[in-house]
Amino acid sequence: MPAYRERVVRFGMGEGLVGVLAMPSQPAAPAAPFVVLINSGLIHRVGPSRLHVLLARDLAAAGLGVLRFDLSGIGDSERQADAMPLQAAVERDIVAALDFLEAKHGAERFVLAGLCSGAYDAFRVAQDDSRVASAVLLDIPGPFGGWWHVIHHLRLRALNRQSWRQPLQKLRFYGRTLRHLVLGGKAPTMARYRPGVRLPVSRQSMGEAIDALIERDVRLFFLFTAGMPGNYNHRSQFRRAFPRSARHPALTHAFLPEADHLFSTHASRSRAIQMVRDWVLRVAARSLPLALLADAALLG
Amino acid sequence: MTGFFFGASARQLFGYHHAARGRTRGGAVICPPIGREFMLAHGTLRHLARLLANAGQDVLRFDYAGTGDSAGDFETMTQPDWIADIETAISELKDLAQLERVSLIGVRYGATLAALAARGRRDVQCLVLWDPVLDGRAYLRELGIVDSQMAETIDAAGVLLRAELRDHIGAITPAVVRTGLPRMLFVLRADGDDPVASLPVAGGVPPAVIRVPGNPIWQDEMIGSAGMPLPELNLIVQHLS
Repeated sequence: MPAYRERVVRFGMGEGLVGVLAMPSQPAAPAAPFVVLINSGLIHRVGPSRLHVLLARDLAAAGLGVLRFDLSGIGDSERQADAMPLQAAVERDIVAALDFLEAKHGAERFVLAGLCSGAYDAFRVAQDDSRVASAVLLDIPGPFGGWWHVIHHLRLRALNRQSWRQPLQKLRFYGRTLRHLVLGGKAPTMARYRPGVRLPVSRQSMGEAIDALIERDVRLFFLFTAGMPGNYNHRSQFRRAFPRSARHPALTHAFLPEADHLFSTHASRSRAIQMVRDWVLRVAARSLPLALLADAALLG
Repeated sequence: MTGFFFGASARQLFGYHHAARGRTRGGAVICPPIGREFMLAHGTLRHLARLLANAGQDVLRFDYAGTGDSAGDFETMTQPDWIADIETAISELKDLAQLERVSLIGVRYGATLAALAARGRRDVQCLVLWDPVLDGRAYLRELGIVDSQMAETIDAAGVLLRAELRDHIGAITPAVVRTGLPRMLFVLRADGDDPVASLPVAGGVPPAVIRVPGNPIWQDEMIGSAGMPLPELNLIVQHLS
């Protein structure tokens, strides 16, 4: 018998939201939290390189119910006709997922998890909904910069052979542009400069939000990759940005320098899934009889 | 629009049935690409399914085993596995919509798989191949795989590729699309090569080839950055209507 079962679910306004619910084959403990995986950008509920599918199945096999679903207008979920601002609509959809799991499966506590924008959405909802007991925040965009970030950025550029070619590439580009302006013909193209990740919150407001969550006994796992170097490029950044919170036992932070933003390699994906599973099972164990959890990893 | 799992219990495939609006005029199974192209094409293929359903087609979108929401691990899959999945999806749609024949719409490597699955089948009415992979070795290079990689599994473009699958893909040539089906439509990039022109005419009727401008969605840097390719979608809907 497989360790988990999956089925398609619909919920939310007009049942317009679509998700796949993975449940352990053995009944989960009544107090077990449900895990809810949130879209990363416009990638539908399977996640980049099936990250969400693999993580959901891993956690379900270990004894937890997991819902991965599409926000309104993404993947298979309907676009809502209302004129609600995007962030408010996203938070409404996530709360609808929690309401659905509470009504249909008696869920009382939740672990929200997401990558990039999904992490940001999870962080926002965790602040507003007291049912959220934990959050897994993968590559959350945030105010993690500082002089140490600049130093590591310069060090990485100096070590990157490609960056030494750029001055020459730029000279060629300007030459081709001049020729296009004078002689006409096909306009040159060059990869657009992509500025660093926009900062959705100030360091002060993010710090206050983290403190408030810790005060509420919400467990937080910040996991960063090297895939958004404008946001995060060294393992010390979180500790330097939020020194007091970083030491709190309710908060875990880690850096996976071998991973890119979408966990494109099998090895980085497996490593991330293992880290998230172990952490989620540890925090889930706070409210569970240990015998009901299948994976011995949480005992380690 | 209904999502569900179908197929053998040990190999559950995820599907989405878009019921025909009004009287059913036919049915179509959509065969998606794989890997990064699967991710980029998802929204477009969903929209195509809706347009077809509005035009009276019963449509089944589905994920091959080891991809998307379907069961299994990508790294254990082979090309014959996925051809068998298309056959399962054809049977499922015929049952769902009470149809004798259905059409196949394939995109990129999914188009190649659709052509292979349609070989010798009388219940495939029409085959739409949208930017099919016709040169397997070039496609492998796009995935970042070179011939010298001889490992059992190869980590490329976000997936672990089984060597057997790599070999099958590497053997793809334009000749694989010679299925002999009377109604074939190729939707090709305007600036692409034209390997179809070199194919022998099958069944006495040459395939229709429609060239569309612009970059295809599966070459986007980000999902949705190029917008919905409505001209291509409307061409396909018109062809099947």
